[in-house]
Amino acid sequence: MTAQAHTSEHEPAETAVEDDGWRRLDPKMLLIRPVRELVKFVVPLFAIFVAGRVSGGFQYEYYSFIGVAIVIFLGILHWFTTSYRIGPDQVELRTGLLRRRHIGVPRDRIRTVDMSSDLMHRFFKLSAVTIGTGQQTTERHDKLKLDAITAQAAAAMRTELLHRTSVSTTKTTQQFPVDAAAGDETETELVRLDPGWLRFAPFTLSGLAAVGAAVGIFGHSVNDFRIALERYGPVQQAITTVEQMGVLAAVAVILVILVVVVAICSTVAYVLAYWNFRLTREQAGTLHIRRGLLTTRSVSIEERRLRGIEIKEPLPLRIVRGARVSAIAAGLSRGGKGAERSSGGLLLPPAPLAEAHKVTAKVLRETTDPTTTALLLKHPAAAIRRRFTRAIGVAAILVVIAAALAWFAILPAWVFTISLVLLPLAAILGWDRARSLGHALTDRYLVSRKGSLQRETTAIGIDGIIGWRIHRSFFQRRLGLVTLVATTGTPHGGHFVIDVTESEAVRLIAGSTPAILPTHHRHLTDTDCPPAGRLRPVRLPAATFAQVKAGLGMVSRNGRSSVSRRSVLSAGLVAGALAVPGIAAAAVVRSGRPVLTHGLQSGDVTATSGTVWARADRPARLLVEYGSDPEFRRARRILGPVVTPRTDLTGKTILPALPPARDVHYRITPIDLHDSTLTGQSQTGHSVPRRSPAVMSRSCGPATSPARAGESTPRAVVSGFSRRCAS
Amino acid sequence: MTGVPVVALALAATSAVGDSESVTETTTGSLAEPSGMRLATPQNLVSRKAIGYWTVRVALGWLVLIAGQVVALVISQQPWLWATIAVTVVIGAAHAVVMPQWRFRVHRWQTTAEAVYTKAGWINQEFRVAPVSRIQTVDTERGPLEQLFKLSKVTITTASSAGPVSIEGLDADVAARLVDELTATTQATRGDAT
Repeated sequence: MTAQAHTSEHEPAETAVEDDGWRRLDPKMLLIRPVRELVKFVVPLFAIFVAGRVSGGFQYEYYSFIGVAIVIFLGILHWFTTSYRIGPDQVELRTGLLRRRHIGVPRDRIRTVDMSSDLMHRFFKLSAVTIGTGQQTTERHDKLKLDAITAQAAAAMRTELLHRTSVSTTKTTQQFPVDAAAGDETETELVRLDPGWLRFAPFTLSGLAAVGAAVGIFGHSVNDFRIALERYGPVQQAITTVEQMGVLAAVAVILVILVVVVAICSTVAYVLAYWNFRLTREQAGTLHIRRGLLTTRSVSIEERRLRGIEIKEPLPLRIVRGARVSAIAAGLSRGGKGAERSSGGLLLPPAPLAEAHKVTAKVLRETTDPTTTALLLKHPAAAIRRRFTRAIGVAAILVVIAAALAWFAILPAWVFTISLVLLPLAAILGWDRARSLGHALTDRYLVSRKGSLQRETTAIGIDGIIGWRIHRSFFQRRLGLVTLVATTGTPHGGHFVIDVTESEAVRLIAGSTPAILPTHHRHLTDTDCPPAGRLRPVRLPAATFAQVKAGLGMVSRNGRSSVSRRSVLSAGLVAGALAVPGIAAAAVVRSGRPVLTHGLQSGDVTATSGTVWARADRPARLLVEYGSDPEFRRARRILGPVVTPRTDLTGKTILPALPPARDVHYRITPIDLHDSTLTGQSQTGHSVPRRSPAVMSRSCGPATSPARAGESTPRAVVSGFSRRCAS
Repeated sequence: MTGVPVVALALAATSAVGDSESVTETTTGSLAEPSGMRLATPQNLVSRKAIGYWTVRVALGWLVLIAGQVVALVISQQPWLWATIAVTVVIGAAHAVVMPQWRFRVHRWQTTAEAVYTKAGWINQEFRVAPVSRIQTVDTERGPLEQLFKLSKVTITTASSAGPVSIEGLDADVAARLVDELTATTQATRGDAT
């Protein structure tokens, strides 16, 4: 958290600006805080009181009252020592009496603004606000939590901090521009709790933990206080009843009671946590989740940070065809305890599976949920076998151990007999795991599903994949399998596609991040290529793309000065070009930018991929962009092949992961090998979706001749190629 | 080690450029499912000095274990401790001889304009790819032993908690150059997908 936690040195003349924007928490906290602190310390204080009472000589029970006074005093003091400020650049919090802490969170780092109100908060209409950054290592202490301010102020703060477009000082225009004045933006409801979903509550087993804790505490206190349970009448009765029934019947009865209690507890927990659940999408591109019966929680997830979703089907829930959905997003806290843990990104509480698919599709803005079972590919037979061998193998080892222990009479023989049950159970588990295995690659998502007791289906946006790990254990190697892990910048870290063939792993990588495909590649030992020392290591798709745009004189959205200067420059060049088109164009070309000499060719179109081909006038690197948007807004970029005289100055690139049955627009830009800022004129093409794999459209020819680049608007570029050219 | 080769990575499938037969190819599934596509082994080995470094590091570890047993032997005078010491020496020696050689052969790395690739492991293999455009930090680490052998360990992290890429046993000069290049590249990029 070093990046955000500042010391107060960063605030020059801090005392002078004491009232300058620094605000205190709500005064009603003067009441709430001491009460809450008292509750926290009630056990030790009470212990002091009791111990003081029962101890023979020195009776110190009244110290507990001093303790109470101190706790109340500190609770009140907390209000006086805590203040916060929302500046134009950062949100700051100062707190602590002896250990003063000053936490500053830069506003452009803010990823989440969550609100929660427990009963006391709600009584006074207050809300605690937690401001989160994308840091994975965020410790609890470094979180900026304002506990608490009025609910109204909290809501306003949330809007202000998350919807940064309304602040004029922010530097980037966002994908969903919002009216600066429209603070109360319209929101679309994606889903809300259906009371009928309560039927899934008993299958969540969330009550199990509560029952376990209760039993634990009960047992502990019985032990501690040496309470002779058997002396109490009802207990005596129960014991005699059990004795009459026999062990098996007693176990059955206890199990039934346990199941009923767990079911009731789970239902209560479900209602407490998810009542009034609502998932909405706000126009500013934020998913907003509100839920809770007594303690209300409000979680916001920026859609820009959303990397995918995860459908979780624990076995009991899966049996009744229910599922939960969580968001996979950067900046969501995964730590925290109890209910807060992993529920930060909850998009759907336990609900029917069909509903889960519906919500997923809506959240991802897809027509069909990419995690739909029908879309998933099966894993190879070896992967299926591996599920069985692993499950049964573990069971077999346990059985052998039990047998050995029984043989040496360390354990009674019936343990071994019972352990035999593990084998068929393991077989079922393996079968179910094998059944769950599946993966898919769509045009936008990498989907994988695994697990039995806790079946998880994840869909990761391929734009969010920031690396790969391919793991091959000794046994996997023998079977020709690998485990592919797509890493993302989310708390989950890695997303596993387990046990696929190596070529399938390569296919998935090629389809998601084609530029970094780690397949066998050729060394370019060509004499036409510059020696390694002169070759610039920096050839970044992103940077190059910006330069291409700038070179075309496109009006960049962020409108920085360097871009406009470039535009002026290119406009000047183009003005000359317009005067004497032919010669000037050639002059521009000869001045150092590579040029595509022929039109683009495309071919090899399958349902999901195609090949494009281009020829340059000199050794160059081809930058390929493609996508379904004619304006290349969400275009994928591939840093394509290097063309050299040896390749006849031609190069082709596979466009993997094409959206099925949609038009594909592609654009190729030649880039100078020595200087990546020297980009040539792009050419664009367009393919018509075809069922038949054989034909794609012919080339469009040069969409924009160098001279026409002078009509420097994106429109001009678009009109050049958006017409169908297959005719 | 011949410095840090900056190798232009061509897509495997594009290697047949100019090959007219592949342009007119009309297969239905060959592109979507390139059968038998294999992961490329990164081209660079780490520094040969790393063998010495690993040997010494492993030997030190075993020596501590052996020393502990010798102390136990001196104190307790149990004759069977001779046997355990002998076994430890044999295993330790085998480990110190075989492991560094083997590791040297399987630890590989490569950088291209697009990504950093590493491969490691002899029994369980792990292959990692970190796109240059998503690199967040590049760290160099030199312990006392590594300084002795003039080696460096370079760790490249992305925004993911799951995907740091480390290369151990790099020649210090190579590492310095690698870090320079990656840093320069990384600074020029925006967007690390957080």
